[in-house]
Amino acid sequence: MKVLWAAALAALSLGAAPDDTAVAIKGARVIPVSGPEIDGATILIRGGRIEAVGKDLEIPWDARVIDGAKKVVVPGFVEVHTTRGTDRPNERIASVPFVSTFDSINPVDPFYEDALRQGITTLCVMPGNDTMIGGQGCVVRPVGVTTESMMIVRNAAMKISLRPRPGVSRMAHLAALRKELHEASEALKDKKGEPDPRREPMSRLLKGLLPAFVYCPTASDVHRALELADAYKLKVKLVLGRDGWKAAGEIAKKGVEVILDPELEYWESDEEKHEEVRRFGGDAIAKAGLKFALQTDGMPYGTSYLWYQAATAVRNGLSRAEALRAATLSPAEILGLGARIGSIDKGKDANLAVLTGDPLDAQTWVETVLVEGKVVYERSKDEKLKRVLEVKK
Amino acid sequence: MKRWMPGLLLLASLATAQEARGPLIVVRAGRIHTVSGATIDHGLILLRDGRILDVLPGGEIPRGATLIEADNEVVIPGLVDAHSPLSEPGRDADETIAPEVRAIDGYDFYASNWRQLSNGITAAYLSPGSKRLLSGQGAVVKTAGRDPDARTLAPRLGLRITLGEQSKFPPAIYTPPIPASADKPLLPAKRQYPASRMGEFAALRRAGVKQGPLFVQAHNEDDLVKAVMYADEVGAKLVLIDAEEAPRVSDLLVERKIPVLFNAAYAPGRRDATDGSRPSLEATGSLEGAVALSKAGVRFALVPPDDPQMRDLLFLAAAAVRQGLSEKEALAAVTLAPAEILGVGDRVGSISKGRDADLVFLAAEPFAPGAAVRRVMINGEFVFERKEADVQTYRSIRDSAGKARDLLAIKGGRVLSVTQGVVPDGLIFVEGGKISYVGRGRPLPAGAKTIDATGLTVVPGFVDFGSHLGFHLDRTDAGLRRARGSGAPSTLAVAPSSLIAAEDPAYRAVAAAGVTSILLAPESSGVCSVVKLAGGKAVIARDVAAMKFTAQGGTAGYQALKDALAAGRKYHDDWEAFERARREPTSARDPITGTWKGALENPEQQQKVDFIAELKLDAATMKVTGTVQAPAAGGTPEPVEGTFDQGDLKLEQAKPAKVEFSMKVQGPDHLKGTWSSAVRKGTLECRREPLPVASRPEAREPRKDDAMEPYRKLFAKEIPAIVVARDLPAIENAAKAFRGDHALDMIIAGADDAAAAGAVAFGKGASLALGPDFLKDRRGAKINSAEALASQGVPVAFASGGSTAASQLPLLAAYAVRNGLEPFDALKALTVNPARMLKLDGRLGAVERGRDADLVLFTGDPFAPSSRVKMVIVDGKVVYEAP
Repeated sequence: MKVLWAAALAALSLGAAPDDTAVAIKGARVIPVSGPEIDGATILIRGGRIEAVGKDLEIPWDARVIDGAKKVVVPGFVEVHTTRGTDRPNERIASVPFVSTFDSINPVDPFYEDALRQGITTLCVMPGNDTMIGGQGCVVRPVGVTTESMMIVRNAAMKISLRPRPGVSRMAHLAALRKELHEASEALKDKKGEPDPRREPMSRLLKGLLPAFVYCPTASDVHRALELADAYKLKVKLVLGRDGWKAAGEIAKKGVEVILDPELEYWESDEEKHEEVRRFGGDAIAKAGLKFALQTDGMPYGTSYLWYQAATAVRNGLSRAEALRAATLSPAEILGLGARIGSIDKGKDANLAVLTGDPLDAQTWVETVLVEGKVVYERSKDEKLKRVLEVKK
Repeated sequence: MKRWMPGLLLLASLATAQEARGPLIVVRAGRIHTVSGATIDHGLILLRDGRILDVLPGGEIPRGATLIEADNEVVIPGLVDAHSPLSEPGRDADETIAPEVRAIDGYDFYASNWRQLSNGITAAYLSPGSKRLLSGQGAVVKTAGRDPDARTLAPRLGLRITLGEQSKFPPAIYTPPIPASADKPLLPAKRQYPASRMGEFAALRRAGVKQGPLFVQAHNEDDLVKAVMYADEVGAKLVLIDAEEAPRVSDLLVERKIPVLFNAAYAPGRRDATDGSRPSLEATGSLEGAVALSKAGVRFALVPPDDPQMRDLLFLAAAAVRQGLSEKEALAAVTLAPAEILGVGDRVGSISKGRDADLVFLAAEPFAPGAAVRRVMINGEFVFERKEADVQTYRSIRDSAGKARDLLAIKGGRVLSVTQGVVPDGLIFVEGGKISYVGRGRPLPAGAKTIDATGLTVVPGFVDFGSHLGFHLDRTDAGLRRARGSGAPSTLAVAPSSLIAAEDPAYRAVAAAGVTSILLAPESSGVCSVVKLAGGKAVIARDVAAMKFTAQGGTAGYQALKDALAAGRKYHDDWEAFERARREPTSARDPITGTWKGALENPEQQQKVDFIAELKLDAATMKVTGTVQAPAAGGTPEPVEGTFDQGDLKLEQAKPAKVEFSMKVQGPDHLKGTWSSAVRKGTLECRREPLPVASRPEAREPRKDDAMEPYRKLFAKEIPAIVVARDLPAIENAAKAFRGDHALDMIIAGADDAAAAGAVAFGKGASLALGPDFLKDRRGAKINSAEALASQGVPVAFASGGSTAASQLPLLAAYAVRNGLEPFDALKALTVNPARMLKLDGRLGAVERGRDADLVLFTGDPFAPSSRVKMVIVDGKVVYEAP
């Protein structure tokens, strides 16, 4: 698989030809996520990869030097599940495994620009939560003028939603989903049938070649998702709803990776006391030892604020390291790209965000963003941001 | 690869299996109803790892065991709700045959299920639906548990089939091809079976059901028989659901050993879902069906009605006991019987070795009035514990012994006289329809007819403070059934007693429940009558017994009441003035005020002297002032003071000498009596001077208006006003208009928040009438309006608000007692309170000398849900006797 990706990358990477440009970020506080923070460190980048990280490194003569003094460098944030950046995320027919966000991603959507502005360097654009089998999603970098040039992994995962459409009961929804999976697995056994390209994604799903992102709007749906995974040997990642943390024990038994609901803090009514109770489930998930990622999809107060999600998690008692990992390395691993992105380590893609201060501080700006070694965003050149911030006279 | 490692997982589960010997827990209980076996007093239940290890009749607590003390509690198995709404009720799939639908998919494994747990329900059957012919597979779950596995008893259980009208005419199904092409054209939506019973069974046969058990919901006799035939045909086991008419086919069910999940269709404390203004108490006839099934030997479980709010399964069973089911069988009907019928009897439903430790801890015996669920345990862990403050422990009607002929004697019963305490082993004499003696140990008069009430409890006949029984004029069975939904006229200008069908058979049924008097009331305003249910028909006790009004909030609402009352007052005053003038043609005065002339006799001197008195009576204080004089004896007018009391006039003259006069009214304007001074005394007689003609008021008769006539009684304070006031502003207006402006007697009815209304009403001197929905949930606690009001001292009466629902009034009060109302307050609310409110307390509401002999003989405490009405006596005649 990795070989496949590497081949794809070779064809689709930023520049057409492999380049050898060197970049050095000098004297910054580096938060590698995979290890302890390093003060006054230098990051050397060559050919789009991180060559070295450490103190007192010699800066090559040909490197473009970015002054990191008083700056903080973090790995580019990874948005593990978003349904934005396309025209609309859901088809109206309940089962459309053959569609792909590849066809709907809009490279000039301001969403990608905003993502860079917030230090996000990798996104998994998935179909929405309203379709039972919603189609396939792609992992992209928010850079490029064509969908192809943005692509990191085309058709990286299948989206399945356990949320019934309005007017349909959970029971009927589940029955319909099982029926689809059953028919597809029967078709898989039937070798004589003519190959149907529209069946192909379902075959890949059932063969375990394509992971399934299963949206579980309630904690109870987790049980059903895990049951389906067992019954059809699916490779599942759970996109949890707000109260998904209640099923943490069950998920832990299966060691499945999860994506938390964007609403980390929420209010739940206590039936017994007739009171509204504030809930945060991140701690239960962390305590259960689950691998989890944060997402911002559909957040009411703005998109792409992964740093804010991490800060919210910390405010509610998660450790800083856990929270930062959940916005960088963990989502990268959930996307199967842990070896390439998500942390500042030698050999990894140079996806970096240079910040003016601590990543969890609301007063921090994203100063510079590098994607695969290339500077793709500089605040000093962000005309749009300037216009927004300009004081009207 | 981030997938889990099966090997490791296996090791981990092996490890947990090794550690599975958890700590030993011992429950020491005051009483254990094992259901499957004997009832054990002061027994021990040994638990480990969520299972019952053993049940022992006492003994040593093993060393190292964790002790749960429940010495004052009664432990029963967790209740099994055999047809619960926990799985998305009413949201069936479109397909008429949908065997792939699983009810378990609709169950929320992490829900608190607080309502179920607080009623002691620990396990429930989930139905996949009830609107399609074959709506899917059922499931049996627990209502609490750590994770989905712990909550699942049977993930897939049988097929759920619905026969009858509900499942007919399913929607058409439209499946568009993607994309449409010449080969795969767009086709119209597919119609589905069934539209008739033929279609029903054709569709079922096409579905090719091979395996059971089949859970078939069917209501009437023919569908039930058809279900049995169909199950035979496919060779599947059958369980019937709802099956209201099962008693009619009980032979068939016994023969084939077919169990029934019998719908009790009874929801205490709830109003009808289809019509919020009516209580749903009416359809309790089906509980009698349960008794019939039991007698016939059909295996059955009791299923609560389809109401997500109503889950008081234990009370449901108690209501069945009241209808005649044995206590043992009733308890089994909500525990072991449903568990066995659902195939999980080896895990839940009884307290015995190897079963799951699902226990319910009650404050009292399961069918005692105060059998509140205190704690609930599932898999050996407490999942519900009621806060101590919410638990109302039952105190029986304890009271100091009561203080206190010739036709009827009722002896040996425990008499709850209401006004005079409790008379154990009491004796009641009834003469001429009235009670002539209540007490103990008087010799029985010779020739008296005797009713032996030994072991029974005698209470006054109950009064329903609002019903519209009998307003329907159609007396056929069909008419009666219709009438359950029909209401009273909205407004009535004439007494309802003139509109009802007095010989309506429904009266007999109501009387049989112990309700002997009913206030017949229109829906929103007008005249109310009191009828008594004597000898199977309605006898009018008071034609115009109350006036009903509806109050609204706001300035306009007040103005409307004010205008109505002002008009009424004027009508009353006009007539009052006219009547007074006609009653006293010579004077419009009180009996004393005026000039009296007569003679004073001194027996010593044997002579009469003239006597003149000028007297004035203060009507408010009944004090008399004025002067007396004996002119012939040379006396001058001397001031006197005195009192006038019920025809007795007493006067006292201070000077020149102290003289006392004592006279009696002999007739209009005629006084006779004696006088006495320190030295003499003698007789005295005088007559009042007529008023001068010019000062007489004009006695012109006002125009009579039938619609206004009741106002005369209202303002004369002979009858009270019943005011329907929903919210606080309306209650405030009512209090202002009725109490504040006119000081009328007022009873608030229909208040949404009766407990809050009580505070207002009490301050203004009003009483309250409560309907079946007196129980409210607020901030997690059940607020029992009846209890809240009674403890504030607000007089409360119960109103059924329905028609035949009147027969459920005692059960309504029992429900209030179960939820915390003091039994004595409940008894008053059914008897003396409504009697007083209606100013009929000289006749109704108590077992007391002089009152009507309306008596109800219960087999036990009137509010023990399990006690039954043994006999009902109205006006000294037996109108009902339990067979």
